[in-house]
Amino acid sequence: MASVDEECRFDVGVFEGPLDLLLYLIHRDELDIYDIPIEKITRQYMAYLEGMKRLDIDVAGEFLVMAASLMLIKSRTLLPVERRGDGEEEEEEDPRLDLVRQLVEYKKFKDAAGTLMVREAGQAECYLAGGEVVIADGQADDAALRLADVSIIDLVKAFAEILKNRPVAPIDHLKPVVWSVPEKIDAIVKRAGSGGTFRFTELFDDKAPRGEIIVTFLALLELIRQHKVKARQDGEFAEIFIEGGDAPGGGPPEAAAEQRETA
Amino acid sequence: MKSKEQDAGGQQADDVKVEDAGEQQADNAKAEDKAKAGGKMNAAEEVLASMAAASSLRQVVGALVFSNPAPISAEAVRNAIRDRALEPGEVNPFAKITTRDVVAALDEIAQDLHRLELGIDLVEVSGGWRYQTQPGCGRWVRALLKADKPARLSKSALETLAIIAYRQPIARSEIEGIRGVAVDHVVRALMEMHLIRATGRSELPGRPFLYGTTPLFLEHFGLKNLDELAELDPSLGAAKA
Repeated sequence: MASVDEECRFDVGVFEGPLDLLLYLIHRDELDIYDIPIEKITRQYMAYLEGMKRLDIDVAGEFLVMAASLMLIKSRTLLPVERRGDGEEEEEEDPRLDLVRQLVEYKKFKDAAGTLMVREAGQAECYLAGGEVVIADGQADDAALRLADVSIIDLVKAFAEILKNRPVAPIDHLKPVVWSVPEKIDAIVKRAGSGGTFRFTELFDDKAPRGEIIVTFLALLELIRQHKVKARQDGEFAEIFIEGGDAPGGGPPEAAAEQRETA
Repeated sequence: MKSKEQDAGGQQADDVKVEDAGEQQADNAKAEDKAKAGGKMNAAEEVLASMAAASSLRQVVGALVFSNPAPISAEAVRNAIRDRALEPGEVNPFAKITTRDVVAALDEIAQDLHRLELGIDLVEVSGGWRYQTQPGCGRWVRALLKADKPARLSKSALETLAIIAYRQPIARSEIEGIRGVAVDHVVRALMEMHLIRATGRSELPGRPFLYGTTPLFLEHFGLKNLDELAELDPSLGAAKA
């Protein structure tokens, strides 16, 4: 189970929804989409949700609804087939049928989206006289639509890289907590304020203990959530940069102040 | 703004089109002869010779597509050429051209451009024609323009677009039924990008909006029309019982 743990730690969340995740599981284990081993798939699906929770990613409601339907289907497949008095077996509808229909339908459009993506990639290389790019570009600066944005997964991966090289300090005696998220928020804001940009990796001092690194990372996530800083990555596997966000006002963020009060 | 006189002129032009084109060519030939005979034309003569009205439909069609700020349809090209207001005594050698002639000329130019490897293509998108650089040159163009790679659409945006493109007009709830996730945010953002638009309202309770793709959608993906979308995988038939 350890290997599943490792795997689901970072892959979860890149899925577009429960159907996407199910298709991935089916494809990975080379299962027949028309004859899904419901018990196995349910188990793996739940393992992924577990991984998501561990990452502290809010598991979207849709994923939970699908988990419930999977369990329902599973329980129905376990029920004995009812036999009629005349000896003929009742043509019971396969409880998986609805799910299969949905998966097949979704897969069609997922594939079509893949074709569109290839087309778009080709168009993105073409320019008009005057240097204007051919594809509709930058008209809506909406984070939900843009591929170039750093996802939480990229950030967590980069963070895991940093943590990996850090030995776990031997515990000789318990110390009180020395770092707080609001403190780190202030530090990052100071650094990113007035248009500053720095590397994600620079955020973490080489000698800093794990506890401090984790608190710093939480502070960064909070700031990104509040749009006070932005994470930017220019290409796949490229360095992640942190820069000051759009939120007005250079003072300490409100949330930080609130947290301090409640602390 | 067409006067009767011009109409008549057009009519006349139809009749004499062949002769006229002949004359035009003769004029050009004269200029060429002169160039050969006299060794060199002087600069002024060269300019004058180049200003003689173009006699090939390809030339004119190519010029119109090049100068139009947006993709231009073959019909619009034909109308512009055929219906040009004439100067007194002038005849239009292209008074009888059809859209099919224009499309043939466009196809020829496109093939020649491609064959000659000139770095630009003539392409048909969203029912109109335009010149654009060849995809293989993108990295150098960006270097010159000091531009980043243009932002591309996310997976969820592409999936939502694909569903709308193939199933339009479609209500948001139907998209959500297929994708299994909420799409209100993506739909709103795609509307803001003008890649989709509301095309009507459903008869379902609450009369929700129905969505369809826009001409910009076709341009974005370099499609001539919606028929050019690849067929959905037919091997994925209806679920077997």
